[in-house]
Amino acid sequence: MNLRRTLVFLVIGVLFVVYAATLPIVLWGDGRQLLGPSQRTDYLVLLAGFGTAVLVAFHHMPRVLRQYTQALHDLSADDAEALTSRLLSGLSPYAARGVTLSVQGGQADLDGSPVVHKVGGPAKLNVDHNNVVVTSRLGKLSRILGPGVHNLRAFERVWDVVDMRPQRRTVTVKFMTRDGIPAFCQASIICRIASSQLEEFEGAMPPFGYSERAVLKVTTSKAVRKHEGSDRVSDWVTGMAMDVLDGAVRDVLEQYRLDEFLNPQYWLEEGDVPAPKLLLEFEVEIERIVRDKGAERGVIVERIELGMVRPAEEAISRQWLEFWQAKLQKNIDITAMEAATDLEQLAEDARIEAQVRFVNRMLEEVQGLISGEVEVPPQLIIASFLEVLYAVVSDQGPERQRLFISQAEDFMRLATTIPQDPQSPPTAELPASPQSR
Amino acid sequence: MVAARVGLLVFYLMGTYLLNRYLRGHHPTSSTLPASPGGEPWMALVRVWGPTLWIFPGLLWIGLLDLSPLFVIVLSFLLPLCCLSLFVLFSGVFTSYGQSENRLALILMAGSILLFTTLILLAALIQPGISYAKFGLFCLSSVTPTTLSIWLLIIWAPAVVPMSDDVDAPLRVALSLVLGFFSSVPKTTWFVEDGKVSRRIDGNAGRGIGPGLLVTEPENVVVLKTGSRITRVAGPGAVLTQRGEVPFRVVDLRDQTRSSTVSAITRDGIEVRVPISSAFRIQRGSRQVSLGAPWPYRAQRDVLQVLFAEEVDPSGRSALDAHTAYPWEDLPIKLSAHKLEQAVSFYSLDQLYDGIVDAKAARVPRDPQYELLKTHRLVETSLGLSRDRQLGDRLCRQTIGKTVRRSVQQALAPRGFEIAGGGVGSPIEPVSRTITEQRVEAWKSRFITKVMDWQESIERKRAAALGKIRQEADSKMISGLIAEISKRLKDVDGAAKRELVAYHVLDRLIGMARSSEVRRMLPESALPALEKVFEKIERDADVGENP
Repeated sequence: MNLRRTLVFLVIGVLFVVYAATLPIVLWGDGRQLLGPSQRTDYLVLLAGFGTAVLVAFHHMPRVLRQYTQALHDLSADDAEALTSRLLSGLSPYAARGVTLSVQGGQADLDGSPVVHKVGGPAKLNVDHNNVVVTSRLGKLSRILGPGVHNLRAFERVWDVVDMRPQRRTVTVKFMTRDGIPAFCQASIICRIASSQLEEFEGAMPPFGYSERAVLKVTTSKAVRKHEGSDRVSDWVTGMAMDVLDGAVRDVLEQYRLDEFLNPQYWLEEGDVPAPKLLLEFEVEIERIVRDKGAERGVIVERIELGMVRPAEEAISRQWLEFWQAKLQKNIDITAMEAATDLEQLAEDARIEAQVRFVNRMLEEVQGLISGEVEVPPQLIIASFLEVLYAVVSDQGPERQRLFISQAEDFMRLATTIPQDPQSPPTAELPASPQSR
Repeated sequence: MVAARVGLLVFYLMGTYLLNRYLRGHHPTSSTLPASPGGEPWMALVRVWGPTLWIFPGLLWIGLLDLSPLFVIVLSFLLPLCCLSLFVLFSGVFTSYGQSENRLALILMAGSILLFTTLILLAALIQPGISYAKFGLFCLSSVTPTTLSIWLLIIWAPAVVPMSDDVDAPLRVALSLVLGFFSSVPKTTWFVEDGKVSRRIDGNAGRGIGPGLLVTEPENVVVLKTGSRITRVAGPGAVLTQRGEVPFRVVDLRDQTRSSTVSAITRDGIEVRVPISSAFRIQRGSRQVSLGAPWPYRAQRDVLQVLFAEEVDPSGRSALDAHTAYPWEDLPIKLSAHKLEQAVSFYSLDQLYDGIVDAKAARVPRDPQYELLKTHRLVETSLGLSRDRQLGDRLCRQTIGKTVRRSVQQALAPRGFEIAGGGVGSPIEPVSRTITEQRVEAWKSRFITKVMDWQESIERKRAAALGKIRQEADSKMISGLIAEISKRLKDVDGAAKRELVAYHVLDRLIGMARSSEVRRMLPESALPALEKVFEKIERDADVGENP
């Protein structure tokens, strides 16, 4: 019970007692003689009348003020009466349940007293161990209240609540690689409000410390994003995720080409393809940037988790798949080719091809002999044969050429050991060797 | 007489009880009451103290004083009224705040009541046989409840009226607002909620609508006007408005962020979508937000300049709201969009994705970064900006964003804006899908080249293997042929050797050509030709043997 309320009761009590004591003396003498029944009735009536008038005055003024309060704050009669009572008398130590506002989970209890929410105190404010509250009073930021039970002053209301627990937010960052290919990746931030002291996780104290400066910074640097809508004002975590993290990830990743994030060619260990950068390198760089910006906002960034960079175009993934397929196909083709060349069939084909080629070449050589009825000397056939032989040999390796020349010379020696017939045509000359040609 | 007195008491109690119940559910609707000059105090007096039935405590004294009941009745009514009149007169509630026209009427009325009461009192006091003690107690019992109620009002009213601590004469203000509420000229009261002004207590239009109370949120101020004249910027906090002042607009002092996407064309004719954002607020100067102090802004002039920078643009709007101005919060982003569109037109599409990675290389004329830096400088000059020594970021879009921000800052700083941030924060996308597809194709070419290299290498290996096989087959066949002919020649005598070689070569050739697999691959004329040569050789041989 506050002093003003006590004074009012005291004044009323004194007035009543003085009146009650004075009345019989004034009306009926010095009070040493007993009052008759009618006098007693008159006394009681006058006393009751005075008492009623005093009580009416005492009761009526709060009603007048309640009507004003009800209109001023647009409240129901009951709420206005309760509020007026608290405004006039302060909080009773036996404050009813309705005048306590709880703050937990980063927000004021919406099921709590709407009057405290809308108008403010006097009321009790119960702040949970994870939260910090910034209050406002009559258009000015008033106090920063940590965990515990607090008395809200008249018209002091909860302006903002900060959840001290580590907050995680995940954003999908879309960006363009340096070679102009749209890509995206997921990034998560784990952050919390900066603390002025080391947290000591002991049962008797709140688990999270906080810096008043950081809390004030965080709550007053919210940005208004649009005119209407429930999400018109971004909270501090959203600001960290959507503005700081999103921007930092994009600013870092857009400096690289797609192949610098993921390049299957590098892993073939062929040529001088530059190595893709490790995700960790990006993560460290982004974390540094986000930490610096968070510190400016009064936020501690615990860590950043950067997901894989993925191309937004399906054609890229398809190309990677096709490349992987081609890589496998290459091995399959080589194996198949080697298998095919080992087959006898292939050899047989080659034999037939060789015969065809040989016949064709011989045919080319003897083509001139079949026209007309001229005599075809055997030396010409042998010469043609040898011509073809040298032609075949010409595209072979030097060792093989030497072998063939030796065979051909043996063959010629054998064929020319015939005694010279004077009627026969001259012995066919050995054609020039492929080397001499 | 005792019974009458008891009846009067019962009537008083019941009347009080019933009135209390009635008034609980009924609000005073002051603004609908007819307002008469000088009548407001009495209206408030009746509506506030009337329900106390202040006459009854005095009426109970009828028959106990040595006075006629008429005296008692009149004095029971006049004595409390006299107290109330004096209170109304000396509190200044209805005579200050520009209500001086009430003063005379109030003085006359209160003076009349006081005079009349004094006369009645004097008349009562000169009545024969009057007990001054009884009369004094009667007067006290009549006046005390009313005085008590006035005292309670005085000590309680400031507690229920939301006023700043720095208000002058808080009691008078509080009484003015409370009693004004019950008069025919209530003081208009506004609250700012979620950035909008909400009128809680209506003023009386017939007698002006001030002075009143305006309570803002911590983060906004309200521009007030009187008639068509802007008077001041009020808040943040609980502000007493002057007579005739009404809220014109609420201005949010918090940081604002707006974003938009601009469709621009690069210098190589490619249309791109460029996202742009702008972070700004009312010029704050060097002040910071702190506890117990109003949310800072540099000067009223800044707030008013920002507000009156709002533009009317009927394009794209219905006839109904064609002349409604766009809010001031849209101005920075609109200007940013315009500057951005201008800036992008200086760059090629490839430059937009490029950046200055090496500051030294950017000074070498043939380096692409030199060209980009040159473009940055050109944009800077064309936007009318001074030379920035640090121009050129690792990403072109960052430099464009900074340049646009500087340009917007230059244009809007004189209008009270403080540009706190913004830029091109999201990826620049070509409008046409073809561009992206083309870029993807270019990227794919590296993979395709690699795959083709593989295929070529396989083909080369295949060709090499096939060539080797063919060479081996050729050599085998020829070696076999030579070996067979040589073997046969050993058993043949001299003269027949040549014919035999020729004959055998041709025979083997025909043999090969007749093979179905070889024949399939030879021209049709091959076999007849060989057979013809063979016949010739045979005929020639026959002619030689039988000349």
